[in-house]
Amino acid sequence: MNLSRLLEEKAEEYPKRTALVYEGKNITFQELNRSVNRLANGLKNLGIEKGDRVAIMLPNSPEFVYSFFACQRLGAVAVPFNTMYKGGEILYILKDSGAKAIITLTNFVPLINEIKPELPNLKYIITTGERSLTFADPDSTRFVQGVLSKSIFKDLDDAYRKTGEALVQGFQELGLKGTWYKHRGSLRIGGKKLAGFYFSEIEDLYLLNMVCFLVPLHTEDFFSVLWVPPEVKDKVLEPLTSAEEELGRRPSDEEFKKAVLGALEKQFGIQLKEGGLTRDERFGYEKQKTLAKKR
Amino acid sequence: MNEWRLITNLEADVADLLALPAAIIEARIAGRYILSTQKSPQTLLIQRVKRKGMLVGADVLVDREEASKKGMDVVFQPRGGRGGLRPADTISLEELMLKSKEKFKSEDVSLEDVAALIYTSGTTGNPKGVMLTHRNFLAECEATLRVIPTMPEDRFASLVPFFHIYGLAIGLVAALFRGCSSVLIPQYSPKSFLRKIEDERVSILIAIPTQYFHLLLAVRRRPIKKSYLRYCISGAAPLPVKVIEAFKESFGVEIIEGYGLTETTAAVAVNPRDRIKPGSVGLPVEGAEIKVVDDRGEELPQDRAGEILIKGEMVMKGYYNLPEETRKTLKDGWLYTGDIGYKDGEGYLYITDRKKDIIIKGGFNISPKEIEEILCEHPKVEEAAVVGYKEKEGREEAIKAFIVGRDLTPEEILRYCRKRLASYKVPDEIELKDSLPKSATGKVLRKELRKGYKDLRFIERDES
Repeated sequence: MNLSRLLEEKAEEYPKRTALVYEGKNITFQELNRSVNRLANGLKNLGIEKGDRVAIMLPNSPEFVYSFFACQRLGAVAVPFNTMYKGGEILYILKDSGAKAIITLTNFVPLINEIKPELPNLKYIITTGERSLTFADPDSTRFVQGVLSKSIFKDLDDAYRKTGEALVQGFQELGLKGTWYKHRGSLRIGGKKLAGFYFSEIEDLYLLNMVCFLVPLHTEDFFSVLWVPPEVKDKVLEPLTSAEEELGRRPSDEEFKKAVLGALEKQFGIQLKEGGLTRDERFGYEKQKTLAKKR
Repeated sequence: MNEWRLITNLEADVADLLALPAAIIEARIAGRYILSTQKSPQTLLIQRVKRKGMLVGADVLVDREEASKKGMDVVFQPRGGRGGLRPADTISLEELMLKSKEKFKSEDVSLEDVAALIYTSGTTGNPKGVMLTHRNFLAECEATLRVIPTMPEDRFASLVPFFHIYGLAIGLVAALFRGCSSVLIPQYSPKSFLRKIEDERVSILIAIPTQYFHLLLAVRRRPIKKSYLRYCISGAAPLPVKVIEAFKESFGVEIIEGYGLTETTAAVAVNPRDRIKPGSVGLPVEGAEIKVVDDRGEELPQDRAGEILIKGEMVMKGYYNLPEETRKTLKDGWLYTGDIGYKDGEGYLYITDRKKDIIIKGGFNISPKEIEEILCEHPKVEEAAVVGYKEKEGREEAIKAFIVGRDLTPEEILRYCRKRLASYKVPDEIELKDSLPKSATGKVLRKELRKGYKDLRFIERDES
């Protein structure tokens, strides 16, 4: 026996016995074996072969178990690592292991995106789970969003590059001279993050989501309702900075808006015109809002 | 010139961060299929919330009662589902599974093939990838059988993440290997986990000392009605005896403490439940040999401290792409652990220090742990960590102590140390801190306390 056959054998021996319990649901050995086989076949179809390294950045969820044992099925090497790792830590492990794919939570995609150009071996980002976390604070956070046709851009890299360049311009306009942007998502000053953005997609549209910190974000309140062990708290968030810390004063909302939107106008050769929702949109908005509050 | 629409909302509530763009997306997509009177243009939105709040994924655990007490809005993202909004350029795991067949033709996998590569962040230098084979995992399953004699009805729960070898090898692989269930805890709060012990009838608990400590605090506030716990295992960091005692009082179970490394696929020594020796990590598990040697590799008699060596089928294949490190660590089948310890007359193993943490000063070998223990006996000290550092290369090492405590002054600590420690062991420098940097398993990260530590979480501009 080896780990490759373990679940297959157990599933034959006692198919109906519970293997995993997750959020009150039971998953039997037979069901587990089938899910693992499905994922193993899926990875195989992507071209993952025996000996290939597959990184796993997941909490203890059924998807972790599927991923780990799917690797074993294929004779691939599972490379699980700490879900609290950031930037350089992730880069080191993915580079050193030469992982061909990473299986991770949807909300970690921005972290991986930013370092992907330095990882020629990394071909696939496979995502699961709904664990995104956005902190909103009246003083600190400002959100810039966009609903844009994909056709404005050549491809996703182009979308990230153009938006990143524009935002660097905008922040420099605000006086944040040290702002720099490398790839896909984070605007930094020194090694710390000042703002972050990412694109999601649906059909022929991109959704842009950008958050910028005007003053330091005090996270104590947030963490008091999301239980995180005290000693690892500072590892949950990336090292952050804010406009106020870098500038010595807090830019006003007007200044922020003018600088950032001005830079976007210039970059895309457009003119922004203040407006409201259309009738159809307003109808959809009421519905979406009721849905969001219902949970 | 091209005109885009701008929507400014400086009085938003958190739900707007979701609902506004979603409404626009919906209208744009729907507009293509039905005759819409107004066409939505390219749109930018700028938003500021008027109250503190959080926008969280459907799987995030939030204490909503506490949130409303703090006046914080919590809004859950809807589940993405098939064809929903998703990060660009990624593959959905669920879709990948849905598209694939549930029968799998087995590959030829041998016991010596590497099953997992687990990175350990050593005390110095870069993390190393530990290559663990199928045989290693199975050996660990066998080795722990006697320490945790399970029944098919047993339900494991691991509070230790599976990316850590202890959670992976014991909480997941060993549980399934024995045909038991593994109750998955993706994110835990002591309060909600106490409820889970009852609801899910958890009988075997895999956790680390700080988690046991948190459970104890939680159970004092809200006692549990019935505990199904039969075995509680602790590892990855030393477990204070007083926690074992208090835990037994509250839960009726004695915590079993084990010792192991990533390089040994988790536990190689365990304190037997009926003959626990406080301060010791117990006896070697089935299939593991442990010896203590001096600097020349000669085995030492009982009670003499030296480096701990381990042999057995659970010992790793080597470090990935590091033949030199592997040669230095694996010699004649023995793993040189870098841990310092000794065995007593009955073969019980005691760990005293990490070899690399030993401070050499004035020709003396100084144990940081010994100083830490003395410091912790001070009534105002909560936690202490001691490291050696060099002011300059070539200079002699100095001792620096980091202390977490209440109303303390460095002078007070120094006076205390001078009374309790030989003069060469008295710290040269004291720094008071709010907390000590710790790993996911609660171990103090000494390397982060050393001089010249580089925080890898930062992304540096000149990296590429």
